[in-house]
Amino acid sequence: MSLKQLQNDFLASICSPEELNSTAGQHRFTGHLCQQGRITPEQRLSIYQNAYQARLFSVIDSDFPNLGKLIGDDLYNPLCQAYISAFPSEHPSLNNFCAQLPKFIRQYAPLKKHTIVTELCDFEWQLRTSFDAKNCEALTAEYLQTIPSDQWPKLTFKFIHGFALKHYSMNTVEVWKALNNDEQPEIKKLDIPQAWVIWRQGLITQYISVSVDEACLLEAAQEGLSFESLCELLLEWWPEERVPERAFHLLQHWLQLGLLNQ
Amino acid sequence: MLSPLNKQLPYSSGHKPFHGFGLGLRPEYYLDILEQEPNLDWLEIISENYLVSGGKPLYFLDQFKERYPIAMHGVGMNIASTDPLNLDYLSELKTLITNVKPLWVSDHCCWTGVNSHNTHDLLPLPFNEESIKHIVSRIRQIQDYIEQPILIENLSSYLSFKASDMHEWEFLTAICEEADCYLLLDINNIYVNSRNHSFEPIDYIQGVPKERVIQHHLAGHADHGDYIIDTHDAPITPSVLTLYRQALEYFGPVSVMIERDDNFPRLTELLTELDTVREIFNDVHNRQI
Repeated sequence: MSLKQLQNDFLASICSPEELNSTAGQHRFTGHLCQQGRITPEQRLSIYQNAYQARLFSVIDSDFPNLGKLIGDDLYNPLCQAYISAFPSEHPSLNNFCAQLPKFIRQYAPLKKHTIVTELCDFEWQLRTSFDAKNCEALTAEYLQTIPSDQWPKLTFKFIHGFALKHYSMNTVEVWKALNNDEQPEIKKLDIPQAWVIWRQGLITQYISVSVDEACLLEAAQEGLSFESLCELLLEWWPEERVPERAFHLLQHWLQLGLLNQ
Repeated sequence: MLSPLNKQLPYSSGHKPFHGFGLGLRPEYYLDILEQEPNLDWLEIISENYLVSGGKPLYFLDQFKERYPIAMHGVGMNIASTDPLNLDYLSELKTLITNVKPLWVSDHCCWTGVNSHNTHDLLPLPFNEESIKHIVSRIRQIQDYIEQPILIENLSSYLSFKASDMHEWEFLTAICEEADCYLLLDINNIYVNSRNHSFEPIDYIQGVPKERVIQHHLAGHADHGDYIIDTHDAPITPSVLTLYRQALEYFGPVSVMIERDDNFPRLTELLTELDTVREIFNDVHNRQI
């Protein structure tokens, strides 16, 4: 047997559930192992099988510290098992192993209809993503004073790495906070979805709820709309004479939070 | 043509660097080490933890770089895999090397995955000529790419292959000599394997080329009677400390450190454990003088 074939068979014996449950599948590989002492080749192989599962379970536990608390072991363990099978790690680092879990859970039959679960999963992964975001210098409030008045209408904005705007239809962040404090959460559907901004300020991941007009402007600013266009959007919520004041206030808010990048 | 080692490091002529007593740097100890600045000669980082674009890991790495010499230890090089070398990974590693300017760079003599499927486990392979040829070729490519020699670490293993036709120590020796690389000899792993595969650990120690042993790892394990699992979640056992003493008597001074990866005790407990290692070192060293 070539080294390549041996590695293929070893990997299949460790990682594939069908191999795990198949005596023939296991035997194909264990036939190449030495019988040593009182431990059979099958028992020796099982050490690697168990370690593989345990390692990836622990990564999911670490990236989603409250998901398991929300759904309980009976749902959480099969979810992790299904995810590990569907999205085996392809990178030397485990940093992004869980990147597909929010999408996976939205299509995972036992949980996809439970909005609080899919939203909490999304929120936890965003916290992780913002935490690991690339460093970049955030603009300060003084920046506004450096902009010549004739350039304001065409001004566009760039956001720091790790910035995210999320809309949750449940009281997802409250539930997350309760779970994080090991408290029993009260789960509620909101009358209208709540917008949340998530970002990293220095070394701390932050999140804050924002009003409907602010969320709309953040979304538009992310898409590259100019300050002039953003002001026009505010007319939906504010009388014309209040729009400049509101726009300037929101801009100052984003700068205070450290959301904007040069 | 000079090997990368001869170009980069001063111990090709038999003078091995001795950097003393170190600790595996883990996030659990970041703040304690920075606040206490304990008596540590050097730190070893897990390279993959710092292959990120920003945030806490790199912030803290900058702090530690200013205070301690750092060795880089990897778990993702996938040296023995039959997949092509992962050049993206090596490129990121090279950038980190430029940033850290480490004492040296190490990884394990093993494979972690194949067909782009990474198990994140350190997997064994048969000890035979086919494996040696394959690994030597890969190490040479890696050393050329990162422009410096690497240390390869012996791993703990729980199974062995009928296709093996030599001892593990003979296998490692052949690789080091043919690839012109160096050894990070994990004393705990030797002990674990001696129990799991029934050999005398002293044969292993006396079977590797002493001039190529640049670093030791020490760690705890879980003894299940019929087999041992390398867990790094407990203090170093007396058996491993005895083997470390034998290693010191054979190899002389080798930079040594403790790895702790789970069930983290207070930093003071690890430092006390490191003091025990120092005492063994001093005892052996003084007797040899």
